[in-house]
Amino acid sequence: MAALVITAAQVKADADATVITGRVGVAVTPGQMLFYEDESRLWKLASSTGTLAQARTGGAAVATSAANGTVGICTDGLLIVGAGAAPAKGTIYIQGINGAINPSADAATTWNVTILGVGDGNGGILLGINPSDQTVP
Amino acid sequence: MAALNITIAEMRRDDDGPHELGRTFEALNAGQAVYYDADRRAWGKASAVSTLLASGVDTKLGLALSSALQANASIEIQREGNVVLGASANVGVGTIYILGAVAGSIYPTSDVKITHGRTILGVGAPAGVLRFSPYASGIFPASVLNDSLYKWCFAGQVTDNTPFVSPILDRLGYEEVTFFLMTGTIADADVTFTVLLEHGDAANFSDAAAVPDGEMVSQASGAPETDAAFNFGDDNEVRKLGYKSTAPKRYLRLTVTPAANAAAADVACFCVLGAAASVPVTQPAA
Repeated sequence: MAALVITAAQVKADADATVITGRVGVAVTPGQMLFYEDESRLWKLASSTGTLAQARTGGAAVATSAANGTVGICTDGLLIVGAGAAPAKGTIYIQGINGAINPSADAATTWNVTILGVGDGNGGILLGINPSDQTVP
Repeated sequence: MAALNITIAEMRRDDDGPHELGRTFEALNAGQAVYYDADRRAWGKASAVSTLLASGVDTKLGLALSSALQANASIEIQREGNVVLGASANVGVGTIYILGAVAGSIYPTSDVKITHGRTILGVGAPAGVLRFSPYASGIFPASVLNDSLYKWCFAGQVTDNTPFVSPILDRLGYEEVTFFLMTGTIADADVTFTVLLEHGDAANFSDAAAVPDGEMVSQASGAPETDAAFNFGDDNEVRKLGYKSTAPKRYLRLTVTPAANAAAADVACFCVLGAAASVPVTQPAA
């Protein structure tokens, strides 16, 4: 499989989802997964192949922003990524590379595993973000 | 792979993650995933193929740290954090573990089946440790076993032009509706059968109207009801006809009408209501 190909215009947080506001340190587009960098106090693209800190995903951008702008970040509940991305019902998704969302089957050697949630088969991912701090050997 | 094979003697809590003492409503072993049943005020073995509650939805999930030889025994339950499952469990580092079909069992995600509810239990760590962080999504992917309801429509034999008429079906709570028609022996030499799907919003069908073609799903590429029709040469065959998830009405009725029939014709039909809003669906007899 491969990372979800997200149509930015289709991304939104469900009405009951938890959305916070954060300032980003890089340009982001809707559907990219972000982590909070303590040193800079900025949100940046989470990645499974960087440091453990970069794999400690906190949420998904639900808006577009240039660096230093603010965006809504969906941290819990249903993240709607849309029919373009079409997350499969029951598939467990994990943090991919540079903000991407991958099915858990894509976890490869050196990836730091962070569970993002489960696809609902209706364009959404039910977020249950869980950074494990574990690296696939 | 297979379920983690946990040796009770090797198992222990590894850190100060939340844990509690509880009472069981059944016998269970240390190392088994458990859920709390508020009605019974007790813990039992969690399962990915039972009820939403047993899969951990809207309740507490845990990992039994001690065994209960019988119901009403006291056990210690880990709610979160690291748990040492031991070398014999052969925990994979970085492997995501989920609740399995066998009650209380823990499986790697590679073993998941479409009939299993997705309850994530944690991620494997070195030295036989499971980083236990349960998350019950409530999502049961199967569209056949767990989120569908089968409704009997009709089954019988006619020797004239008496139509086969289904009961009025209520699709409330289901996004998908598909009718399946089956023929047996059709003895007449020139009989034809037409199919009509009607819908309405009144429970007594007082507002019944024929479903427009655009609100049905055809088994082929033609007009849906025409594609589902059959004739004297279609012994022992099947047809299907869908009602679109976006179609507006709540109640449905299917009618199959013979024409020019003068001999025995066997026809049966059932309907599958799929993509239930609430899963798993319990199948009644009719």
